[in-house]
Amino acid sequence: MAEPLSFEAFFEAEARTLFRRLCAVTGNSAEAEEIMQDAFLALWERWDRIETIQDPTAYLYRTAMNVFRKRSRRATLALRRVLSPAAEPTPFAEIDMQQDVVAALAELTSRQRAALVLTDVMDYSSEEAGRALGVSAGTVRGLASRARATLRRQVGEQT
Amino acid sequence: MNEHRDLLENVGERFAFPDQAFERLARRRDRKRRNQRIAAGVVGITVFVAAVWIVTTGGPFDRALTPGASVPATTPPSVTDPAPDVTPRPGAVGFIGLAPVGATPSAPEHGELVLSLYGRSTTDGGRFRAWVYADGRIIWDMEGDFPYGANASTTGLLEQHLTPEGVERIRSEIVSTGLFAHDLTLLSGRVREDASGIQQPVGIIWGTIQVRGGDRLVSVTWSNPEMYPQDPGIVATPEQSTALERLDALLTHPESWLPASAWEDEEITAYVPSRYAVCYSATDRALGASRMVSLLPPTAQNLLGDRDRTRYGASDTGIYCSVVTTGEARGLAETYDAAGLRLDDRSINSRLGYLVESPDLPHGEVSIYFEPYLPDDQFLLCSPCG
Repeated sequence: MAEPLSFEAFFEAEARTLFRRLCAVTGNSAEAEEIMQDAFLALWERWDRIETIQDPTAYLYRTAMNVFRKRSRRATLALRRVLSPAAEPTPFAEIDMQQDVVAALAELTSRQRAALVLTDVMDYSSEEAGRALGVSAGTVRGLASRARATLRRQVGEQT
Repeated sequence: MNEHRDLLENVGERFAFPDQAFERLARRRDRKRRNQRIAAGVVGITVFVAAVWIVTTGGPFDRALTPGASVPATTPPSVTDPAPDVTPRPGAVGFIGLAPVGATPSAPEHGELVLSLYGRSTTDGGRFRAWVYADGRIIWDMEGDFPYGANASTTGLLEQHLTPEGVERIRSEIVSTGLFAHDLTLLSGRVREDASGIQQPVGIIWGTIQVRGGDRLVSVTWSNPEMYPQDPGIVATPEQSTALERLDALLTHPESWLPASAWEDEEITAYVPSRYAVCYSATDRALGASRMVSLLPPTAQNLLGDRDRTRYGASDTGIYCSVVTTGEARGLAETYDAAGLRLDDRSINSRLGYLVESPDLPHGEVSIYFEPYLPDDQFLLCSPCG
């Protein structure tokens, strides 16, 4: 059951963590902030019926991942239309790329990073992560597995 | 498996959290709503004409109704930027916060709720709430910039008076959709991308209508699953979707769709409550009610410490609210001002609230705010929401 707070208090309590995780997924703070805002705005509209939402934090993350998925799909379509690879921002470009782990993360696709954040950071089951990302549980397992393998290889090579 | 948890969390921490993140969120919300209202304005004229025709003639579904004599002129909402200006303007009728000294409370103090409407309409795009009482009062507020509004963002709570026939007319209008046999939660509508690449709702956005049926209120809730994919509900049938679109057209200020004959007194006045809920909650979820109260100025501690409080939530954390009279609310606000508590400017365009900051609260603050009571003994749990 929900533990309602004022929306402002909920934002203060959850925003930093969500933003951090979205940065890990997108590799880009501007995009992370936009996704975070969209997710909070959806929940804000429902806040006075908060007691009907069983877990506001879970609702927030599911919405954020849904926004991420839609944006990725739109970005892919836009890229196909204009055939301009430059339209996609380089992930993690705004932080120190000399760091081995960051370089390794940049090797992953954003979908792989999303699967990893949901399963390894947030302890979602493959089914739950699949619902958030709009893919099957098997796809989540595949994405996360390839991501882990890449990270182990990349980080291992550099240490 | 968790070997990657620290790695991912550490990488995320290297990104700087945006300054004034909440204010940026609020500005984004205002921009988004303005865009929705602009888009709605394009199709709104058509829908509005249809709604007027439906209500004034009975439309295609209520042949028993007599055509209305006339339709009051409406003031279309402005789509100017509502973000920063929260100061009352000349000619404002509604207000935010506590009732002005000397204002006469709405009478009678208690009333039976006949129906309530709450949601965001594709016709207008602004959030609309209305409560209709058996004594004829319709109390409502709406987002947007109206000449009589409390500020550039919202009207504040307003009051008008319907005839008994007017009350029944709205009720039968809603019930005639056939959706109110029992509680329903429906999903309907879609989105389309406009020329600017902004996703605009088609059909419905979201809403809830409650209608009294005997001794209980029957509730129908709907939302657009392409806009709110996490919302629960069952997919509406085509007939239900059509009915929802009719209801959607009612989620806008009532003088735009009620005929003149429905009004006892069409003059818009401010709704002046007799009582307020004073609510408090902390960023730190572990902070209990007593601890929160102990951080308030002594006068407020004395008043709220002894007062019954209701907890909203299943555990011992959450929002706590107590009932106070308007006089007590004013006393509390004066106490907070005198103690130098900071106004909570995150929601100042919707309600009066303060922030309690203390070295004892390393993980955030306590927010304490006032919400008006309505005649059916409910209060608005979250004025800024929706």
